[in-house]
Amino acid sequence: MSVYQTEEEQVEALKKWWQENGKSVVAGVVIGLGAVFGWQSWGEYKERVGGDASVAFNQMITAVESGDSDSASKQAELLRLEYESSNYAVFAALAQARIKIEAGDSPAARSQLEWAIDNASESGLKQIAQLRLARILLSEGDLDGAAAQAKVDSGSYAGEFAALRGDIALARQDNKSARDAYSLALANGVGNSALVQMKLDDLAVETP
Amino acid sequence: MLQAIRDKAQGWFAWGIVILISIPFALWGIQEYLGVGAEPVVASVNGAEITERELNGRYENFRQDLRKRLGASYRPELFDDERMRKEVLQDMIRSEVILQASYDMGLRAGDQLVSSAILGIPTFQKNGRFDQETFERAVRLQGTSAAGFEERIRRILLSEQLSQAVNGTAFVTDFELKEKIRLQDQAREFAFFAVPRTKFASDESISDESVQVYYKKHQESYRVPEQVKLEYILLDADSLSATIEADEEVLHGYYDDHLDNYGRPEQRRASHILVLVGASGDESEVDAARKKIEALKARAEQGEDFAELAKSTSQDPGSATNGGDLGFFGKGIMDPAFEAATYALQDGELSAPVRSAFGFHLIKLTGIKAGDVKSFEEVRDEVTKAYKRGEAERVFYEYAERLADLSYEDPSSLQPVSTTLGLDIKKSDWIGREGGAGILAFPKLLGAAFSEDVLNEHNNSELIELDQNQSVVLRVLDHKEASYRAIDEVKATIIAAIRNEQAETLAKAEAEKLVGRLKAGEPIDIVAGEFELKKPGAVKRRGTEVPLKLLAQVFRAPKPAPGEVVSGVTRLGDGDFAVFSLSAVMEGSVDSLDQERIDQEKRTLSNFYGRQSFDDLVKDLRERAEITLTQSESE
Repeated sequence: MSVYQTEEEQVEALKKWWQENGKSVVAGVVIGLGAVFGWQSWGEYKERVGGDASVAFNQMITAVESGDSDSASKQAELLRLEYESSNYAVFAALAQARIKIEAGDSPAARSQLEWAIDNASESGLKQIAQLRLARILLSEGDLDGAAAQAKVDSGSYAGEFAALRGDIALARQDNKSARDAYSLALANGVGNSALVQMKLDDLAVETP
Repeated sequence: MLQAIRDKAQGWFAWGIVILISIPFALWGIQEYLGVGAEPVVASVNGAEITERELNGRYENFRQDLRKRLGASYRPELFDDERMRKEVLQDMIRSEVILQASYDMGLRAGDQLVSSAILGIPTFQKNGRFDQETFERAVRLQGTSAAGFEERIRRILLSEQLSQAVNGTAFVTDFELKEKIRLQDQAREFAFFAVPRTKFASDESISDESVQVYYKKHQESYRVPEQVKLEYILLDADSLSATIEADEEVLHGYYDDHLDNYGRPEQRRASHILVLVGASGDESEVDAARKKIEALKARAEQGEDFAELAKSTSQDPGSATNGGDLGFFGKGIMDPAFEAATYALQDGELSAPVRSAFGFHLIKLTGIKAGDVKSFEEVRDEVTKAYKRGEAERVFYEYAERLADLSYEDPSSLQPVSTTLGLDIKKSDWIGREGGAGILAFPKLLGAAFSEDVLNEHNNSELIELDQNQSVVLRVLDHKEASYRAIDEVKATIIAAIRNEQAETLAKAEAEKLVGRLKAGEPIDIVAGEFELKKPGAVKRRGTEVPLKLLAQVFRAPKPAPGEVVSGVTRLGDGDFAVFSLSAVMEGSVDSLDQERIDQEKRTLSNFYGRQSFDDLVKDLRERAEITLTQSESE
């Protein structure tokens, strides 16, 4: 570090330094402050929007569970339009799918689930929507379509998907594949294991 | 001089000093980051910690819930503390995982949701409406603040959303419903007969040698486990409570200290004007302030509005804007001099200047909310009970400590402890590891009784805390090693068992032979022969007219081709055998159900689908989360 002889020289050097770097210092401070405030107000905005959406979600799910499908459907639509990029919109699509299925309109239910699959940011929600879509396809008789959606064979959803593949094979009257799929489902764990066991037992063959 | 310091502060020596000095500055507060000396943590989920205190609190709540739910059948001694604590911890981890995931997914719980949830809690209501005062009191009783409570509700509401979104949107398709009914309402037509083993019983003599062989093979079932006889000293808060005396004076004192518990004490509302002067202000300042406050008093007395006066002249920034209003307050909140003055005033009256630690006040009493405190006589029993309970607790802890110390000092006997503390030594009967009655069933106590130190070294046990109100120290009086019952003692049962086994083998062989004939094509009416043939007709899966095990086997049998039969054999629970011949399967049909049953089936099924999806989701989230358990919890 060089040493300055007099105060004048020091002041001179400072001035020179400021002329060279002043703009970048000011710009740096402005950008820094801007980033901090921007980040803060982004956080506040997210909190507020999330809070509002949660209120709308609460109204929707209450309507769905009480069987008031007209009002539930309206709420869901509102939720999807107003908070399109949030997961609440995905919840709304899941709810719409249930409402449509119960009203017997399965193509509409499918398109809701397809939208949910494309827009869910959480992989778990995607898989749930996919499983539900495949179940609708199976019920409609589109076995190839259902099979295309039911290929998941790892992770915590593997059991449910295997049970579904069993149902598809059964609908194709391919009893052997159905048995294998049901056995796999039981090994991976399914919620309604008594039902899957019953399906498996129903396909028993004579042991030599 | 500065120049001299500057000249000398050069070179490695000066640098060394600077570095030494900078170390404490650099490391100041580092323990906050390292967690040294912080609360013990039992687990962490993606860096969010669950402390031992939180776990203990939750566990205590869990036990209290259990006690409330089970009522008289609650038996704390039957619960394995460690295992349950682990379960509670796992549950807390699960909640934390769900909460974090919900937050990361952008889910929130809006203020409106939180407040409507709180408004709806019946505990906070008075005459069917939310009451702020009741709310605050209830929240304080739970050891938290209104804000803290709101946060808790917010977390609960937030973590419920995900399960609502998955469970509440589950549905059932027509295909699934049809399949379920097809199987569940399926009926199968079959005939069967039993091959009872009694038919094959013989009273041939059994050789000593076979008895010997059987005994060797099944020796474990003739085992008598090791047992101990204990002596112990039990410290029990309830019985201590009965021995505590309480005289009038003490009870009055307790009552005065806990007035809050016996109603709402009087509250007063006041406005004031403050002229600041510190307690250490010098005389001239004090004089100036006193003059100032007296002048203000004169102005107020001449009819100037007190609120306006406070607004423009009071030096208490908190209250000046409200015209000096301090709101309602009870005793023990304000400065003592201020309080004394306030409680000496009539409603609406203006005080003389009052000196407090802050300065001079001019106080105007603006309201009195009469207290509603029950008199001592009214609550005497309550006071006595509360006082005794508190004292018993104190004595309990004191005794527990001394009990622990004394029994440790002389580990070879309980006698000195008993004499010093005046507590009886009790003796147990023979008990095994499965425990005895009452406190002898506590797993903790049994663990200590059969521990190396107590059982083999013949020492007193440590102090064992059974629950909050009971502690015990024990030692082993006598010990019986595990042994086997002698062969002569059990000979008769062995002979019976061997005969039974032989009969069962013969029955099984006969049943299998008969099934062979069925499979070869002989009709069951002929094959049954002397055995009683039964034809229950078409039986549903849940039918009760035939033995359960037989029905299960029939429903696991392959379906017969038209005009043919499928036959099989199964062992019934008691060792008899059943031979059956299945002739037809009738599938269940949705069309035969009424709407009510259809709705019910749909509900059950969609609940299953919803719950399963949510469980899968949580399992997935857990696998992706970084969860660490501290050593003692993961064992």
